[in-house]
Amino acid sequence: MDNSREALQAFLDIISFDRILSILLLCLTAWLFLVLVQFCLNQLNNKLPKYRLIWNRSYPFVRLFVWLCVIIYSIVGIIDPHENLILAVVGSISIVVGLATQEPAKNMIAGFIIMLNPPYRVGDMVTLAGHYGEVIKLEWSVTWLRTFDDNTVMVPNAEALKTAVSNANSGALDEMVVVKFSIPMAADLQKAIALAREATQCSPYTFLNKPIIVNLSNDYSFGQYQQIITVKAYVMDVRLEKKFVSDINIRVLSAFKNAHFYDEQQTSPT
Amino acid sequence: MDINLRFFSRLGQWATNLFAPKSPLKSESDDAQQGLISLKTIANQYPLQIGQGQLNEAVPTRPFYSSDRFIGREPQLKQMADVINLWRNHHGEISAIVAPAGAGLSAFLGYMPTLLQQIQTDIEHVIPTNAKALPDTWLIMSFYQAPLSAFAAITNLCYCFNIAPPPNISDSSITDTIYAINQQPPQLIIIDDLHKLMLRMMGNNQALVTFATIIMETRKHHCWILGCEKYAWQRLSAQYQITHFIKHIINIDYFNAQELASIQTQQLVELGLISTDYLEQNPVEKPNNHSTETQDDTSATDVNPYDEQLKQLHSISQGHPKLAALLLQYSLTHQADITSDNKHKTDICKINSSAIQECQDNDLFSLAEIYVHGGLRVEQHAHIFAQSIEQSSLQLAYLARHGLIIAQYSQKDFAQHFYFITPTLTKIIASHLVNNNKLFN
Repeated sequence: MDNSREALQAFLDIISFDRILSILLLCLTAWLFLVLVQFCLNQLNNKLPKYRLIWNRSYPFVRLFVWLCVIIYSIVGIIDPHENLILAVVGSISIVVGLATQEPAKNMIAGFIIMLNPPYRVGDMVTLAGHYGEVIKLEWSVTWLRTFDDNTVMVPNAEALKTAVSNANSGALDEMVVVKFSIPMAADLQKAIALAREATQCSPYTFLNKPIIVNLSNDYSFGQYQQIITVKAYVMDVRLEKKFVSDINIRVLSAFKNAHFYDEQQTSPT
Repeated sequence: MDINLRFFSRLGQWATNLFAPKSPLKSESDDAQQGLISLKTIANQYPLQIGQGQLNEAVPTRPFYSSDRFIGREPQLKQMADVINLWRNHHGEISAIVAPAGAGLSAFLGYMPTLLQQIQTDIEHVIPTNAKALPDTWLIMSFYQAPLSAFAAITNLCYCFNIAPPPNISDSSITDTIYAINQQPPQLIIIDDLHKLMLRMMGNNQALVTFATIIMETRKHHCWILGCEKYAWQRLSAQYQITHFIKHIINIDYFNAQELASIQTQQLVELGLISTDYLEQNPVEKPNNHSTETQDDTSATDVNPYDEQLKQLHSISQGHPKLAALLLQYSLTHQADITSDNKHKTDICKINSSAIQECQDNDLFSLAEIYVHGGLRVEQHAHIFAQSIEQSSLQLAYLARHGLIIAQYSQKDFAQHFYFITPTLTKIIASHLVNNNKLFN
């Protein structure tokens, strides 16, 4: 009976007003600190957009570190419970939380693994669970994507570890873009390749520090053979991917039309 | 924990509005009194922007290619002399001088006649060898517009040698042109603004390849020296592997503090603010003056009363000579009475670059292309960005209104208006474009 009373007294001591207030103050301080960090990172993004991937990528780590510190300090420094009580509470909570939050816990662990061994980072263009977009936020349990349709997609982190992830730029600002063009078999091949290369070079969004590759192949579709020109070029910024594809299409198709590549196809009977 | 920054951004806006000046219309003198100068004001000081009668009040203008007041660059001059001597000794290769815009590349090229005279003097004092004589004629030039076909490239090169260009392009045109150029007496040909030959338009690729071929095939006979802007050189290197063909690359950067101080001391002397004694103290001046003059001990120990301003000038202008000259003149004129006794205590105006911070992505792309091309006409801009001439005209007018670019208006056609980066702002704009991922090192 005495032991029970002592245990109850010890528990009541733990949830004293002072300690709860201290923990709340600590959480508030940590939150304000994170707000400050994010504000500073946003300012850095505005001042030096070239390095935005570096700034954005550091925030999940800072957040993880800060909240881990808060939890550890709250338990060890503020609550300071008896060892037996810790074991009892941790055991009970583990069973309850483990059963009730199996999926979220799985996602959180997956999020932790993603932070340690990242298949993608904030700012990368990825295909995740069938959605293609820029990683805008990497949280403990979920990853947020922004697609080119301006939709925000939330993908559970466990999904990222379960399925294949396609990363288009892997931490770089530039990204390879592939655009294909069909031209009739009768068209001058060398001229077509030269035109495609130069037209791509003329786009103001082409990252000229990396090579422009033009490949040729053929295809049989709609009852006729066609030559396929594949242009592989790097766009200066992943966010300009669609604009870049559109620009290359305009330029290359204009060049092909000016070279009369499609004239014969248009006039010949099909 | 997700953090919503909307409240803080509103708080930030409120704080900005609270501390912002209440007067909506700020004049240049208001800015100057606060020790600031806007980009628009800097652009307005450019000679094209002001009336002819006011030219003397702005930055002093000199002939475009002139060896007057040439300062520093000793290592580069030595490299240049070595290049010319190698050519004389039958090891002719194409050479390039690469410098950021506004660092004084044209001034360096303008110093070439003086350098040639020095080389000639040196030749006369050595034992004759089988080395070639220095060319009788030399040519320094800059192309007005980029060629967009092989024929245009051949024609432009023929004009350099006063040769009649072929009437039309054929399979043998390049061979014939190379032969004709190699028949001419040896010449020293300096092409300034090589970047103006590069244009992001269809046809330019072949023109550049033709141009490079002819230069390569005539390099043993004629001495070719090319001057190019740093970021344009980077593009040429990445896309055309120009560094594979050019053996000697001489790099020039903005002036260091000592060199800039020499230039500004000269300006202070011209303004009548200090005596010419201070000019003689500086060892970087007069690179061709090999004689060691003994100076008066008292004058050598004198400290320039504007020493503090000269340090500030280097810090603010980052070694850009034209910007430093403008800042010095503007600060002295607007912040203090130029005749007052405490004028040497005047602080140099700092640059308020808020106008460029407000530029959107498409504006920055435009600025980057204008920067790399050394200027664009409205129709060229429209072509590069695949938009209408009217859209381009409006966009360029907007940038010009903020002082980031300067317009040379065509009387006949608005599509022919020519826009170029304000020469005094090249360093500031290039740094901003690099930071914003629009220009690449």
